[in-house]
Amino acid sequence: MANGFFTDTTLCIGCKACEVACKQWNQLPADGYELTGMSYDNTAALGATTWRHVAFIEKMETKTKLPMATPAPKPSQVGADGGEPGRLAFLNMDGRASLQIGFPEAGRWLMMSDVCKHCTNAGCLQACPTGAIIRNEFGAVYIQPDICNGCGYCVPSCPFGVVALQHDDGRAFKCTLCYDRQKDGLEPACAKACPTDSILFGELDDLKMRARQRVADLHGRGETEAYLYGVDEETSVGDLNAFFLLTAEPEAYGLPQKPILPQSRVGRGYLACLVSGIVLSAMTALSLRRKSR
Amino acid sequence: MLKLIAGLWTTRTDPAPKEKAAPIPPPERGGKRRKTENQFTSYYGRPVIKKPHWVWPIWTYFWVGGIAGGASAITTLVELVGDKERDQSIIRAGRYISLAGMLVSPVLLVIDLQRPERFHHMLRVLKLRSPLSVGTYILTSSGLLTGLNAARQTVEDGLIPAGSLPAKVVLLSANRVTSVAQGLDGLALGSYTGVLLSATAVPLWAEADIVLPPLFLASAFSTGAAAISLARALSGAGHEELQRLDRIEQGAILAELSLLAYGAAKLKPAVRQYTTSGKYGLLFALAISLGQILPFLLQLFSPKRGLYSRVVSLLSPLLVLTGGYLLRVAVVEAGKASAEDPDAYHATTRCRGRPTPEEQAANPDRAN
Repeated sequence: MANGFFTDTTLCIGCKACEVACKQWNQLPADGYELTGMSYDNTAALGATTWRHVAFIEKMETKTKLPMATPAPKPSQVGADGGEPGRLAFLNMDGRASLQIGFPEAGRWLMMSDVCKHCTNAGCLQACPTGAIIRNEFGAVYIQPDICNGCGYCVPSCPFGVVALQHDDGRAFKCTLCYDRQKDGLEPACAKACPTDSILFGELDDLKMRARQRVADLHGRGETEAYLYGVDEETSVGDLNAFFLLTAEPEAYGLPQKPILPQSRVGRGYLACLVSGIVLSAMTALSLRRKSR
Repeated sequence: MLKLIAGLWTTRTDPAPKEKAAPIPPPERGGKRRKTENQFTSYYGRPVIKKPHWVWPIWTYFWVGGIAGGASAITTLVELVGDKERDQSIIRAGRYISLAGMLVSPVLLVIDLQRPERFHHMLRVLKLRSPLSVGTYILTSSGLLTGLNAARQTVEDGLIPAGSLPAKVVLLSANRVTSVAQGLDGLALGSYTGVLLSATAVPLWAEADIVLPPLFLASAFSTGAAAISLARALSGAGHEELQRLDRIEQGAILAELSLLAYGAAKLKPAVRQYTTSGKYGLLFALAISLGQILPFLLQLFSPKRGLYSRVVSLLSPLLVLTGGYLLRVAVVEAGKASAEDPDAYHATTRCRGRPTPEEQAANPDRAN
């Protein structure tokens, strides 16, 4: 059995209830009162004491497009004046639409509640030299705090920048997928708190099915930019146990376009060690021998 | 102002390096509308991945461990193919230098742990996919073998009375096999740190994945030979003996230079800037010119005897050792800077082959 999150960003309203619920349940300390000055996002990033982070992206529209909740009109329904039936159109002197109510040119906010992805092939788990990071019975990547010795190698080994060392404690911390709550049969605090069910928690197969259906629905409504991030794509980190429905390129949300498992380079590295060891030893032996003749 | 906003929001073409650790971009104010280009290159220019906390203990360990590993490998090679009588002093210096390095290395690594009292947790598992775990065992075995062989050296030098029990135990346990094992361990010790760095998401290290292990090993050979050479020069070795060590250094330096050139050519421009421009570019240039090219030339044009020759025999190993240190600092610090740059990271993860949203939705029932 593997549980995970499906975070549907089209439903996120940016209320940050997930951030608050996570902090409260896991008794995480505050991060200070810093303002980023860039958007409504003053949390800024995931960290040792921030296991949910709501990203705010202001997306300006260039294409004339209807708000996504409305079905796209068929070409035959578009009025002769270029306006759409059922919408108030202000006409120019020459009869062309000059203004449409519905603000098709206005931007919109993309909001996404980011979290540890609990990757199938997790970089942090493979990097951990103490075996502190394990996969628990719920399929989550879990750091055992009594084992971690703060070597910090998991931090740069995460392709998503999730794990971090807590400066005053020394150990690495990240989302546990509410291990304690799951043990008691409860859903994680963030999913429980989410008022729009943007964060869904459940069995992965079930979640994936629902996510694909949701994408198909959105595409049917003309929101053709919707896609799933973290499943149904070939990456070396494998499927993400916490995956997302996004409507902009991954970079906009601060996600890598194609995450790479850092340990996929280990074999090549060892081979390079072997070859260079042989070559340099041979060079050294030759230079020693030549002189001793 | 508009340019600033566009820089944060739109496709950035100029790979100008960002100021280090500027996590909070300046607030956007003013009445001008943003350019409505619907292409994002990063989330407000904020770092995607987190950089490691590593500072001086780590790059000092890379340097000291490299010297110890290089000295071990060279000592074993001298023992195997060198002249028994004449190279005795090189072997002796090599054994003690690697012992000194192996005494310092674990201390540096434990200092670096944020929970140093739990250092032994490293020894509860062995994970071949984790270079840090593999390195723990390389370091442990290297320490044991180096200690054993150095102990034999002390007996041979007469520091421990030859007839005593400890001397007998040492002479029985340390032999040719342990010497060869120490040499092999030295090769592993000098190079695994390159794999350790490249097996992370840090753009510079990840992109230089097949360059770093050979580069670190070549640097281990040059600094190891330099350390032995310095010790021998200080104890008044002859020109010919030092020249034998110089040759090892020169070969390793040539390998380093070609690897650095290959590495720089291989890197993507967004990542390469961290090795060619800014303060890290300066650090790399310093490490290469002062620590590699200058001693190489000094050695080539050094006369056989005289005051100038003596000065060169002391100066050139010092330069090589300094250069090796600067190289480790440059690689670690430039890597950390590249980790904070979302453009550099995205450049390493961008790829063809991601299905478009339409393609993905067209076959939603794809089996996983």
